[in-house]
Amino acid sequence: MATATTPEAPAAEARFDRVATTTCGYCGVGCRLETRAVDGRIVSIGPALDGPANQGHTCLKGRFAHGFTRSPDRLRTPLIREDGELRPASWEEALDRIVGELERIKGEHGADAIAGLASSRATNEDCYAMSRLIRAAVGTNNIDNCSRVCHSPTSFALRKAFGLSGATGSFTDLDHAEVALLLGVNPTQGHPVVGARIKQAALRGCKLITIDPRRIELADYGEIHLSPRPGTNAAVVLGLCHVVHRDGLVDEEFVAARTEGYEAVEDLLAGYDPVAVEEITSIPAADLEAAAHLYGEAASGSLLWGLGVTEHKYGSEVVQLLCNLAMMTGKVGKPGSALLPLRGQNNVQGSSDMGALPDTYTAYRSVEDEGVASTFEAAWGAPLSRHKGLTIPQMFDAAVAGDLKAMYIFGEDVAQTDPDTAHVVAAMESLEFLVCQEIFLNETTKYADVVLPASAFLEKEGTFINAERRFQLVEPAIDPPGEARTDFEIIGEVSRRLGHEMGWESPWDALDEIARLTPAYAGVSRARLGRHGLQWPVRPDGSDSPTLYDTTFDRPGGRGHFAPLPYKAPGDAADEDFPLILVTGRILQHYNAGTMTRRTGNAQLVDRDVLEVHPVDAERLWIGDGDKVSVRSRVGRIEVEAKVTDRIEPGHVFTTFHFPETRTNLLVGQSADVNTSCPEYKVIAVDVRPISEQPSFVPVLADGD
Amino acid sequence: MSRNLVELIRRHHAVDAPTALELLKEAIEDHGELTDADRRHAAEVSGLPEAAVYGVSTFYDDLLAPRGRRHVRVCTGTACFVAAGERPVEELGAGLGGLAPGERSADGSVSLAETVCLGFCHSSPAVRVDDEVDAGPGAIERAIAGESRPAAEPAWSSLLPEPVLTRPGEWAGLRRALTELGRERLLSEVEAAEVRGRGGAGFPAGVKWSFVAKAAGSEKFVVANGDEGDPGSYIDKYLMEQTPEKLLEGMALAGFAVGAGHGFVLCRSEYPASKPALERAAARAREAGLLGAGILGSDFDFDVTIIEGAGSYVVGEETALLACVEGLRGTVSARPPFPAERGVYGMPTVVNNVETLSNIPFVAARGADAYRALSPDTETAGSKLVCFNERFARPSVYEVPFGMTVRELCEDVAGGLRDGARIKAVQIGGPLGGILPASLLDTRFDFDPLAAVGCMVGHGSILAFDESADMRDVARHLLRFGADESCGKCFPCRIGLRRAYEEFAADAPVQRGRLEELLEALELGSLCAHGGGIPAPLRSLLTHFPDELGLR
Amino acid sequence: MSRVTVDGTPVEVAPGATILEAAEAADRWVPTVCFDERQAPFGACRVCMVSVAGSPKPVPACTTPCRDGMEIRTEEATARRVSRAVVELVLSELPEPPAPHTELAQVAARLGVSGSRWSGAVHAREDDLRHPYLTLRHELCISCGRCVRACDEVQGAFALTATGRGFDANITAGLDAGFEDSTCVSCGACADTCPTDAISEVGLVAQLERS
Repeated sequence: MATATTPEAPAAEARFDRVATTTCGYCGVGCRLETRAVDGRIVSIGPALDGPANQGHTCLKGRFAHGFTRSPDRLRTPLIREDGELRPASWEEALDRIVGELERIKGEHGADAIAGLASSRATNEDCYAMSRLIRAAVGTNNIDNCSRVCHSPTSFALRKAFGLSGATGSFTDLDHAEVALLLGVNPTQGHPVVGARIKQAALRGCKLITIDPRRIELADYGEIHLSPRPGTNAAVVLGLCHVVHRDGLVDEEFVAARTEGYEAVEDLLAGYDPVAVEEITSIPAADLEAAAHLYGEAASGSLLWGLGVTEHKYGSEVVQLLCNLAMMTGKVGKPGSALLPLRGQNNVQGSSDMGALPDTYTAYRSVEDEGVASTFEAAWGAPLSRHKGLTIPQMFDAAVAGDLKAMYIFGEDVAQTDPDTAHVVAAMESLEFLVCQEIFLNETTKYADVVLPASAFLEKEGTFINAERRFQLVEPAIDPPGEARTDFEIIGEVSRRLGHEMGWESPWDALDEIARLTPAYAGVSRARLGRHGLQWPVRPDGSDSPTLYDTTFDRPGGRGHFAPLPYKAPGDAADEDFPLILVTGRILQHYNAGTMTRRTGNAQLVDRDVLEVHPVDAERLWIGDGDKVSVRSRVGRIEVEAKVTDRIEPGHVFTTFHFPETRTNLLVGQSADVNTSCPEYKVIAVDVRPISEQPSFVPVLADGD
Repeated sequence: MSRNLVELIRRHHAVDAPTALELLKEAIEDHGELTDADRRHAAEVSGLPEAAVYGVSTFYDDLLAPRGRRHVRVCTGTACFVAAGERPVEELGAGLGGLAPGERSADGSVSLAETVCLGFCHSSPAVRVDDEVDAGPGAIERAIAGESRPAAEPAWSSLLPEPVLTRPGEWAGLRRALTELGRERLLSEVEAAEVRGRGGAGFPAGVKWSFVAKAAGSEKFVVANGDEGDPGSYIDKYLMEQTPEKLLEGMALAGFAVGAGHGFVLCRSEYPASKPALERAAARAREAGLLGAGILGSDFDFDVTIIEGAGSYVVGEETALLACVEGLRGTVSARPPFPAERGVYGMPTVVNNVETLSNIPFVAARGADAYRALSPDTETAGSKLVCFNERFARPSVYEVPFGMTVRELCEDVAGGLRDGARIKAVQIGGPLGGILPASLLDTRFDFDPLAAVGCMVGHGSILAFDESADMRDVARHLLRFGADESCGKCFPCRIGLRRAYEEFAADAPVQRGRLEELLEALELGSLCAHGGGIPAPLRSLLTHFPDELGLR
Repeated sequence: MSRVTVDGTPVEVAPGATILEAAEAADRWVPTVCFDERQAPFGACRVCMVSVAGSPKPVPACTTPCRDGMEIRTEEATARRVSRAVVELVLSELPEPPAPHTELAQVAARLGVSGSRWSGAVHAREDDLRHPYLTLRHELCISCGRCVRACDEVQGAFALTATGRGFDANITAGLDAGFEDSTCVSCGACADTCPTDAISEVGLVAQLERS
């Protein structure tokens, strides 16, 4: 593309009748995009050269996977269920039905019989509006969002350890880090643009320590790769801390001046010498020691993690342990030394920051805090509940138990992506009334009474917050198709009809309200965000915060908190009946439920989920590359194609969850993070066997006694 | 050169492990053509990505032409062109059953390829069958009949009272450096000796060394540029094959002076005898404790790896040479960074020509003053090897002092042309050197006087055209060589040489104005001396033989 | 910091900064074809020639570091003549003029090069249209190396390579069997940087054909 030293390019952009600069709606990296449309269709998307996170780059999803916006099966009109079937309806009819049913249920069962889900895919303003709809118009705190099932443990742990729920630094820290330790994250697949930045940093000399049950691509560019047994991350981090402590790599000055609670951790670490850790994790003791020294001795080092840390029974505790490791070595709050959780969805950070959570208003201020609640009460002019609402898993339980009667789900296919699918489906079936606000029909809309046609990220305006806490502008590249409306309009309209007028003309009014009511975002405005965004906290003068905690932590007393948390076994374990451990995750070409990417050329690049199996297991189980296999867990069974690869360790298998034909999450049980209910998608004991058309070939387990 | 690719190779590789290029060469030598399996294997072993290996496999001449059981390569260098025109290619093609260059017979028995040049310029035409070079009258016929025989190497002699370059290596310089001089004095002797680079550019070796000595790097390297691609020159061939010890000693001295522990010689695949000769010499030196760990009982470690190129003229340019050493495409890179700062594997590297390094042992053994005294009639220090093409009566390699006239060299040293023919012009120093008409033969053979008449010392080859030569044919020949050998990196050379060649190849007058604009763009715009240098002989021809060029 | 002047305008640049960066700081245009600010300078196209006081020859702005006191002229006649001659050569290797929106076409227009006086060989037409998003039209390739470097220095996929040499130099993916049979991750950085549309996007090519 043009650079400052090439001529202005009117001819180049004149080919398009609408151009916009927006923020990508796929992962949490927050790439800034230039969109180009002709006749209401996107023709091309390129990277903004000055995008702070992407620096003129994108991945194939952000650049190419936009065709879904004009897919023939896009929802273009409201649908309502009649005689068991969804049929097209007018907005008037659909909204009347919603308002009528919600008022009826509220009247019969109280506001707490209703719940809403905001979406980590949607804008801050959408999420804020949804939260206001549920809290003020409906009158309950039963509002949650899908970050529950991915990064809620990160949020919980960072708040416990440091005070604020967000990365402590920025992606630019990767350019200054001597060492980067990656735990349970595969950036070249899940966060491709940051993955590319890490790879370049590694080639320039940043030493990588990769820790993952699979040998991820970045391991090929790193110094040390550790492959722990799934579910043993806590032991790995405790082992690293043990060696740091034992070998005098602790930044005593930092620990003394900036932290509290270290003594308890010191006592705990005694039990995690490398040999003991090897027993638990299967990581060779020498490799663990080398990794601890590499990180501990570096002048600067950053920690990155992803869903491979959080989606575990003790995910939030492992994040706390990572915070311990950073504090022990003084590697927090300095250039090159950042803790960078790689968020799954584009607005995982923002949807929670905006208070689309059952227990907090914006910026994680408790619904039980009288001062905060009364501020919102005054601003919204409606009485607000002082009691925490239900989390997503609690909503499903309550629905099955008959206590929750209605849900308004916006931008999440819970029946495809949430764990224990059978339980989710039972919950959906138990509801008296379900509204889905969506861009396509999906597994969940099968149970909906009303489906509202909404807008994709390329059709709306507002803001997202990326994984480095950066508010960035979202501008529409095209308009929603047919009668579809933006989510912001729909939520405002439903609220109005429920008798609560939000009083906003556009999302920018909502953003102004968020800034006015939230000290941490006080200086945020559309004009100030401009092309480069701002990283919260944003002070009233508009100055922002690329690095947190350079002098003090955001906790009472200003000290970072060490958590003495021991290793505990994961919620599932291999046994005789289910001898392999399944890890689930995603791949570069597809995005979560695949709703968008499966409707683009990406499906031509990858058209199915596959199960990665180590050659040793494959041989033992008589599985060949490309064979169809059955995968059975304690709660479900799927069929999928096998791919034999030594990227995975023996005893483990891996698959993705992008295709509804596979429905991987049928296999996932109820095990979830002890603090946040984030499901344990990453450790599932399974039995894998080939499906043969010739039964005589079905083997008996060769190694069986 | 991609820093990332270099870093990938560096991480993957021991310095003496085979590169992707060497693995591809082995493969084509083994089974006659490259397959994707060969490329994948090379990628896996070398650490180079598959695409990059593919790029390498499409760059070098040796990897492109399929090979039959008998692989015939015909020299199309300038000396052979002057001797026989395009006859060798035509006759061989016809004689081998109608093969065009680059083709293999249907039964796989024989294949034909062009090569530039085999370094038998004293005995043209030259034909290589497998690893044996035949040259001189009858060589074509013998190749067709399957009766090739090895051509004789030329005799060589020195005009100096005491030969310096034309005598076997003695390792006296290294002994003295290790026992008496030490690093710093060695470096200052070489600087004081003003050893100018013999590869063409004439840059003082001592200055280069001092840059590398000062450069920061966890390791450093010495690279001997043995890619003497200039058609008409066989001087480095002589040095590598007849006095390899002198080169190895020069490299060890360079390593000692700058703090390098390993050296690479990149010799040419067109000289099949060079690599074996160097390897034998290195083995003898290791046995004698002159290479390896703790040389001569000192704490100095130095060893060498001998690498063979794969058919690319531009690899003689130092950044392309480094790329070839690393097994990459032999394309030129912009400087800075210079090799002294970022050379092999991104580390500080001395790159010197073979003849330059072969001068160093004398400097180390006898001192700068003795070296400066070798050419008493001029300020230029040291002696020079020159060589002559087959047109001369006594074509061979001669060691001469700087400062003689070109006429003295041609007439007194090489005996004038054979069979009473008369010199029309001589091209000095290879295809990038200007062409000196007979009227200017009294020009002194030295850096500055030659530059003043649009010529250069270059490698020191003196290639005569007799009065039968058609200078438009000469221009076309030079431009074809230039276009064929352009590495393709910079635009002026990549496209411009092709256009210039097309001008002279077409059966039409050459438009002088447009040609001169093109020559200017090549001279001023090209990234390296290839595109920048080819205009020099064309400028000479435009000045001295305008009527023969068919200009408009 | 080095202090230099660009067409008389004094600017200060960081140590190691190139003449191109100084020109940018002085808001002076220097034509470029192989340059992309996301990549290390390459020095291949030789279109960014400028003159420097005291230097006998024009120098490429993208790879020449500034020295303190340098006097740079961006439109000096000899340098500009070389830039134009090179662009004219580039136009002569394409079987059709570059599309007006392409960077090459725009640089040519701004330099006042409207076509080429050179005839002769052009690149043979060979189009690879197999990928769902990326098109590779070899005949439009001018070997500027931007795609290969984007794949290397920005994405790190190493899926692209320069091929051949001299006039026949070109580019390809993997072992020349298409993007999909290479390590390509379909990020599109190559198409994004290509100054001639030799690599482009299926959607853009289709749009161009429609209009």
